[in-house]
Amino acid sequence: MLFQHAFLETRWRFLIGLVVLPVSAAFVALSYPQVVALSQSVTASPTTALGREVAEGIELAKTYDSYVWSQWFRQEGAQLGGLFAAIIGTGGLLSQAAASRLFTLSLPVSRERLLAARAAAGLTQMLALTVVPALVIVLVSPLVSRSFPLIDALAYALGAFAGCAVMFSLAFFLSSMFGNVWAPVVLTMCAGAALAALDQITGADRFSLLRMIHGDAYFHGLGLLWTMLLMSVLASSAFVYAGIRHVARQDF
Amino acid sequence: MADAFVVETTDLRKSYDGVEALRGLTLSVPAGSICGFLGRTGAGKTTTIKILLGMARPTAGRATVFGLPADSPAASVDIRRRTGFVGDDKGLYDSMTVRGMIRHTASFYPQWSRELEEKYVRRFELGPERGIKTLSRGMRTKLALLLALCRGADLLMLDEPTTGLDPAATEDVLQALVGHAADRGTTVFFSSHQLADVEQIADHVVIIDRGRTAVAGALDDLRQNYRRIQLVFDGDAPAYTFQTRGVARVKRAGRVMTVLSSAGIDAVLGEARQLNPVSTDSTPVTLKDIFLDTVAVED
Repeated sequence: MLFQHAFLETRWRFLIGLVVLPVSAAFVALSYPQVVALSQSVTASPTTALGREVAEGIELAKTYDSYVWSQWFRQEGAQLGGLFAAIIGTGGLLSQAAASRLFTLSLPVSRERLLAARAAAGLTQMLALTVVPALVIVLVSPLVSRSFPLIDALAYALGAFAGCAVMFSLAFFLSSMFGNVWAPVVLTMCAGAALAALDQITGADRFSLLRMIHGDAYFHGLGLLWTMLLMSVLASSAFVYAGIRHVARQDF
Repeated sequence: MADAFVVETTDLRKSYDGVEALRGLTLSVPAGSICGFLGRTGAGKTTTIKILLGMARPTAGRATVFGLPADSPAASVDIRRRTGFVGDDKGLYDSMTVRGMIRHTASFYPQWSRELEEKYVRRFELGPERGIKTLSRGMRTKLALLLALCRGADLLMLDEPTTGLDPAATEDVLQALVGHAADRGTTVFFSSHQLADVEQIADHVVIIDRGRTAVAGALDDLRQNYRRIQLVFDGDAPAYTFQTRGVARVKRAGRVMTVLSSAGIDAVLGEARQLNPVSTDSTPVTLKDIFLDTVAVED
């Protein structure tokens, strides 16, 4: 019942994500014929940064697999996934209306269990938000006379889930410190932006959270980054644990 | 053996950011009693209830419920399993319906009584499909009370249960409480500003003032033992500190000295005669008199 209630608490955010992400993923897949046609009519000059970007886009659009990876798993899916991870991760006991919070706290359940149920419900929602769009891509690809391997889709989804779980857990942890729902979202997105900037500056490769979310290594034939996946699991667990401990010590 | 006291606190202290909400509160609530917990706004009533339910932790002192330490997280879960709580704000989940709220709450209590649930849904005229956010304050209170009563609790802890209710709804809530307590032997510990409510249903009273217990005991004993003694003097009433035990408060106004005694009148009158008053008079006091005399702000 705790899990169900926690799930219901964030159901609207989850349902919006469950519409937005799969629809966006389907749109990316179904746009492939137009993108191919457009890329054939464009010539990019590799002398400017923008030109190099366009040239890379044209190159990636040459095969359906690389197009789907670059457009969905590396860009839109990762960005939307990160955003929804922060949105679903925020909230919880501190941001509940004071009155309903006291009702929740009066139930014969430890705070640890209350928060663990909320974390489990949120992570389940994030799993759905990363796997369902990947499956949608596999399913709609035949509509543009293409196919996308199920194994690849699930591999990308796994990396995206592990990375988004870290974002979710960070928002979850920040929610144990802020009473409003927006501060954790903004701070989590800032952390994501800071990681992206750090990647740009350092040229991070195998140990980049964002590259794991993008499935960079898998796309380039290096397989799944098991070390990063493990580190993500540890980071998520640490954030969730810290959030739970922080709330467990608080007075209400 | 059943505990004689369901709730006990000893020298309980609580500070929030240096502000003392409780300053050594000592109280005990006998098993099976209906205990009114009175005090001015900010006296520490809600803080006490939060500590007893494990929502806040004491800075010092001891609080037990059913003999279990309220500041132990594990024991606190057991305490809450045996306690029905109605908060000041009648906090419920606005996104749920009445039925959903009942089912959700029932799932945490193996001893939930469907029979009582049906009884109170009918009695309080709660439409099961109504959304919580559409309920009036009175209906929210009744639903919160239903949720507290049906779980098979040994203790009901209610924070200002009748605040904001019209007289009819207040009567309905109080009658339900008294009936339930009488039928099942449930201990009721409720805070209130409404002295009339307390006089109507309580058999024990604790009056708290600025974080400390000012008065505590059986209501009948308080009514019997508390007396206001008025001493009139020829000139100004003398500044005098009574040595007799049970002198709760002394006020002087011109020629008149008023003594509130919690131990009858004989001993106080005996000591007062040394002061040579020209006349003495004693009158019984009401709970309101006791409350006002014990929690009045010192000038």
